[in-house]
Amino acid sequence: MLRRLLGMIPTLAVISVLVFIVIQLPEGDIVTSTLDRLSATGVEMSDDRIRNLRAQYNLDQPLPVQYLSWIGNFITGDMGFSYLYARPVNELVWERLGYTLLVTVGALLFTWLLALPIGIYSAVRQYSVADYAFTTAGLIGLATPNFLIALILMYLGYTWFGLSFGGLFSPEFLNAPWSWARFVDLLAHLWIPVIVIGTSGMAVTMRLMRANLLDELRKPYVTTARAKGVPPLKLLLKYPVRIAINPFISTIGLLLPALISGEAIVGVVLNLPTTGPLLVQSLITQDMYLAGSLIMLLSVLTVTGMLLSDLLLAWVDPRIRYE
Amino acid sequence: MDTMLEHELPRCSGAGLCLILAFGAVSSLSANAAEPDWPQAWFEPARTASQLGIDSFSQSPLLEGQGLPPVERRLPDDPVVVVPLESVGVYGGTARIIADDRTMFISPEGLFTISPDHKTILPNLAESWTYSEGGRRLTVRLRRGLKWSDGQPMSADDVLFAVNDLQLNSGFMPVTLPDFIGLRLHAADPWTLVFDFPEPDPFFVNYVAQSPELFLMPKHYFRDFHPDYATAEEIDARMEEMGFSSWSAFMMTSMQMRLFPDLVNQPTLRAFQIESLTPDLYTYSRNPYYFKIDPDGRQLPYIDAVEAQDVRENEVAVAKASTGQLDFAGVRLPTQDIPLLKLGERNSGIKVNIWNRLHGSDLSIQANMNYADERKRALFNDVRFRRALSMAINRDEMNEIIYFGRGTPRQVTVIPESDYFEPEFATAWARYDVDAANALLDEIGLVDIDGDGMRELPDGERLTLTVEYVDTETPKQVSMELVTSYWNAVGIDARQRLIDRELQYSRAIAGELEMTVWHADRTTDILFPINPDFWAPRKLAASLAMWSEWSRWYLTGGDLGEEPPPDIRRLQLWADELATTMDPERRVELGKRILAANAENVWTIGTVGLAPQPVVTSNRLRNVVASGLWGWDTRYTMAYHPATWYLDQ
Amino acid sequence: MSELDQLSPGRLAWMRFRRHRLAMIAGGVLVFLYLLALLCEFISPYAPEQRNARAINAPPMDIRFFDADGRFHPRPFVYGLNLTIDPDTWMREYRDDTSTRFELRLFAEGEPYRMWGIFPADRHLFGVDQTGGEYFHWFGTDSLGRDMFTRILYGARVSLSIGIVGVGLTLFLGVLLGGFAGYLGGIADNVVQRTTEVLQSIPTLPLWMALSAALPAAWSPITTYFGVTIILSLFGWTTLARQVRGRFLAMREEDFVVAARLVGANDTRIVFRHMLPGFTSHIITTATLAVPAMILGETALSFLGIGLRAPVVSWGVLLQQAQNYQVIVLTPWLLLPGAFIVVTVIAFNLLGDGLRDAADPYSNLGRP
Repeated sequence: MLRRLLGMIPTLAVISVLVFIVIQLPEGDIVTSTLDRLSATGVEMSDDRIRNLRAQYNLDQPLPVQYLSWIGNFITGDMGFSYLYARPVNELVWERLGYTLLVTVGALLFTWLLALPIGIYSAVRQYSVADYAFTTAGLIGLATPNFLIALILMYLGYTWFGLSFGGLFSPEFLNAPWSWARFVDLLAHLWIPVIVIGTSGMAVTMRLMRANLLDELRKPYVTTARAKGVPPLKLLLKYPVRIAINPFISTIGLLLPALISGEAIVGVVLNLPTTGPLLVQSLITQDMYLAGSLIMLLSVLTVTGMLLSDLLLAWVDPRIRYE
Repeated sequence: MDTMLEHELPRCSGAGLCLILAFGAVSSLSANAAEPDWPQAWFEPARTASQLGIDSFSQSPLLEGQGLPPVERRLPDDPVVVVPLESVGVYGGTARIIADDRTMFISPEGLFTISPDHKTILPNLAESWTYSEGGRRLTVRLRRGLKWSDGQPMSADDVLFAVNDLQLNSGFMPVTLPDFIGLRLHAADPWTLVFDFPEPDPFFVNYVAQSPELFLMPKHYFRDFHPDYATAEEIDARMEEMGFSSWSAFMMTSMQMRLFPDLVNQPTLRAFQIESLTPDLYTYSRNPYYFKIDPDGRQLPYIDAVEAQDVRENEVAVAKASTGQLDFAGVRLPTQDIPLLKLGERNSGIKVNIWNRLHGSDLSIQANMNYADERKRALFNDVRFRRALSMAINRDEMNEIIYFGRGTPRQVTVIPESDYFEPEFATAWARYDVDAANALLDEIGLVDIDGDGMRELPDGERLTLTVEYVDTETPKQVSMELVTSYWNAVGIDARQRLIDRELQYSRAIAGELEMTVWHADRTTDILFPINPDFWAPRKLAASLAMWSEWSRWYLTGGDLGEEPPPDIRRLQLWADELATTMDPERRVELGKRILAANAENVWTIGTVGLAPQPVVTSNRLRNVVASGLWGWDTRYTMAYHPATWYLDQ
Repeated sequence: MSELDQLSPGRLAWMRFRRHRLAMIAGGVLVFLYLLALLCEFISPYAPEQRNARAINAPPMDIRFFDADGRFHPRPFVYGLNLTIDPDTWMREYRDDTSTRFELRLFAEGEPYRMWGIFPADRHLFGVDQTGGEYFHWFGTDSLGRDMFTRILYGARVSLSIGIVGVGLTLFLGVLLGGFAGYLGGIADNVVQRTTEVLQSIPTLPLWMALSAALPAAWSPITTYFGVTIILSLFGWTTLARQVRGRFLAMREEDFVVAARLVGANDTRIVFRHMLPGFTSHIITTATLAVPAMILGETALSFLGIGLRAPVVSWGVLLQQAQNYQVIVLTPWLLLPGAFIVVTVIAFNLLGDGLRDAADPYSNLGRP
């Protein structure tokens, strides 16, 4: 257990190096652009001045030093300063991370709540019309690019339900204190991103459940139990389903990065107050601290998610043990 | 627009996010200056309460009972009277906009303002000004009793602070902006400012009117962040708290009016002050100390509050505008989406006003004549090549396809109403003539050697042009898709890529862009005489990539960069003289010479200009002009008095 | 027991696959789509960049046999379009011009092209005689007046091949790394394991974005295409590597491998000769299911404007130009590339399902 926890550290260290390299890849840095803005209407800066400015932003240091100072601050909880938003990254992230988790977890639950029962049904009624119908529906969700579903749903949300375009709240609730009405308003908007992000994982989950359950149902103990007259539903839910579900728990960690990538694009299209648009924006504008810290933070969350799913799995399935 | 104020304007960083941040264009009626039904008062220095005999003042009911001083004491000694377009309005209501339209809805307030004739400078916070004989001294007299939104008096000190303590302070501006070089400013008394210039500077008032933010900062607030007035420890502590690395970064951010938390504390002179910021919403409330009134003596603005939603995706902005969810929208609405918006006009209770963009051409296509690659450089410096590129473009077809036939096919030049305009400046080498283009290219020696339909350089390598640009403000991406296909048709392999704005800055200034595209503003008589940037190499900017080394040579007095050839050098001299001569006839003569040189040499290639700009207003928003001139030169809406807009409940 | 006992495993798998009717259909659809992509120069009536200024955002044109007067014509035809721009609504309105009948013909003469970039030709599978300014836009036109049907076909070539090429690369990396990790074990295994773990914990989108932004602008369209493909596959191999490793670990202890080793076969021979064939079917299945991810990945990058760029036409690029409200409300035919993406992705999934069932010797043959 402790070993597993400690094992996270080298993984995260490698991730941090990788993230640092990746955000350094594209040309230009924030000082270049700050300089440019200063001299936009004017004159070439002397080399001295440029050196001073770079020193001010710590950019005159060799890359390893820059890396260490960045990751050092990150560990102590200081994610740096966003030049794009002229605010500490911490503030920006914290006011948005909650919504990101809400949307992501919502999408995960949506996927499961729909995909698991369908998967079970499809397994039990293999090759029935409903089985095909569900498979096809799931595949359409998987196959349609997220941003397209988002646009279409947003349009339908407006024409059918009169929802405001984009965001997680109607304009009148944007700035309101929390209340029941605001919560309802949130739910009225939340379903769009949840469905959009959720549908892409639906097909996979459904088919995995179906396949797992089919495997399980072919096992001799099921035949035996059936022969002994255990009621079908009880039999189904008591053993095969429980065992077939296990792999899902183990995929939480694997699904998270995909959900977060999905959330980024959907967040951009739907104008959500989540970290996704922040991430995309910062990557495009080379807002290094914001981009780096955000990817790092999401990676930490993912690795933690994987750990939790492992623990959960051990708890659900006593056969799994840690050395 | 690409001064240091650019952050106040819509940002569309990077490729995908601004997929269609194209502002399409349309309208053959060019920017016609004076519409007959606009109040005559808009074209003249605003009159004051005492001049009009107004002696009783009233305020929005919202302000009653808030413990504020009475309205007479909040207004300046002699308030400025603004005549609304249709009628005086009613108080109240919350206007809904998106954040990028905030400077269009809430105009900047400076010492001077711009007349809707787009030529004349008018007094605003200043009540008058005089130039000395010879134009080397400008004396500005401020109105008495002006107050910041926190009730503190505004005086010459605030201008001195912005100019002497910031713009002319090398700790804040490592490089002095060109228009501030050699400037000396002092206050003769708390209401009289005296600007002294090393050279005559008759257009300095244009600069102050167009970039008011550079000349005014609430000293009583910002002195606590300035090393001349506060100790290093105090400043460090404040910066630490806000997360800024230095006081200058903080000050720069404030000046650019970027949306960050401290704005809530910063006093303003605008009609609205920011009240709160959340990730998706910025709320503004009325400034109780605003200095303008309507003809009935009622303090402006009429509207009590503004809610600006943070919408980064164009599509969401367009959708909101077209379905009546916004009271005002403009900056994020592409020309190509006009049919959709017009559909909303029929279904959703909005009005789609078609304004005219002041852009002389929506695209200024630039080939870098100082490019490092010798072969390309030689090519780009060959006037035949530039003319061939220009003549290969089918501007009429572009106008039909992108602008519904309502733009004007044009080279990069000033608007027709300008004193400096001649029709041939717009039409020279703008004729669609594939044969002529091919003949010129053959003549240069660019022929198809390997028979693949594409031209090769004389040394046998395939000629490829790489165009990198930011897709912002005008419909650049769709235009360039057409332009590259026209060039393909004459055997030129052109590639294009969208880049981020920041990258555009650094690479344009370093001269590393092979070719780029910008939009041609600075085409009115407000900015052309001081910034003839597209026609004479005197600046380094994101918008100017065709001659960075010649500009650098000019700016550094010959220390850096490359000495320009004589025909370029004389452009610089003409532009210098244009900005400093006090003789109006000489001015026009010089301006026309500069523009005529471009007409002949095609330093930069234009496509379609004077294009339509959709400006959507809700049916309840009143007093907005039906058609205005849209663009950076005139700060979009400044001449049309947004403070008089009201919501008809 | 039946004659099934006497059939080879391959033949058995094929029989199982044939019973998977959906998979058969999906396979057929894919073969058809790939044929379209392969022959797009010939099948499409126009060139992808060819514009028709008289048909900007024109809706799909109906193919007719009966004219406005109800007369039957043996040769199918379309009516020309009358374009008016409504001065109030700014809408481009198209009406059938019943006085112009453009007859469709097979092997029509049109824009000259080079088949596969090599053979010059000017015949298109179908089209209208263009000498008199006739035109035919089966799927309508886009905002620049380009034929959507043509662009979708050219887009198919890029999008479908990106899937295959990308998956090829993924397979190569996945099998190589996974195989050696699983077979060699020890340090090699550890390194590969950790690498996959790291790559799987970072959201891929930022990695894609950062790498794509670093592609030079001066690259030719074809180089950019390969650049994007490599970026897409660079992070896709981890899943496959994990699976392959798992199989190898299990198989390493199987009798036939032990036997081979005892006989003195070297590692390479054991891996390629004995172990790989043991789960080629599995690899094929995984690969089939990985193609859609590539295709969708390309769309996502194009959506963000950092994937392929014009004049390259891919389904993602086409959708990027179509993703706005005006399209949904006024010109929905520009979303057709989306339908092609959906069909392709579904077909690949169904095919993958079928292959998996077929490869699985335990799947039930008795059921339909």
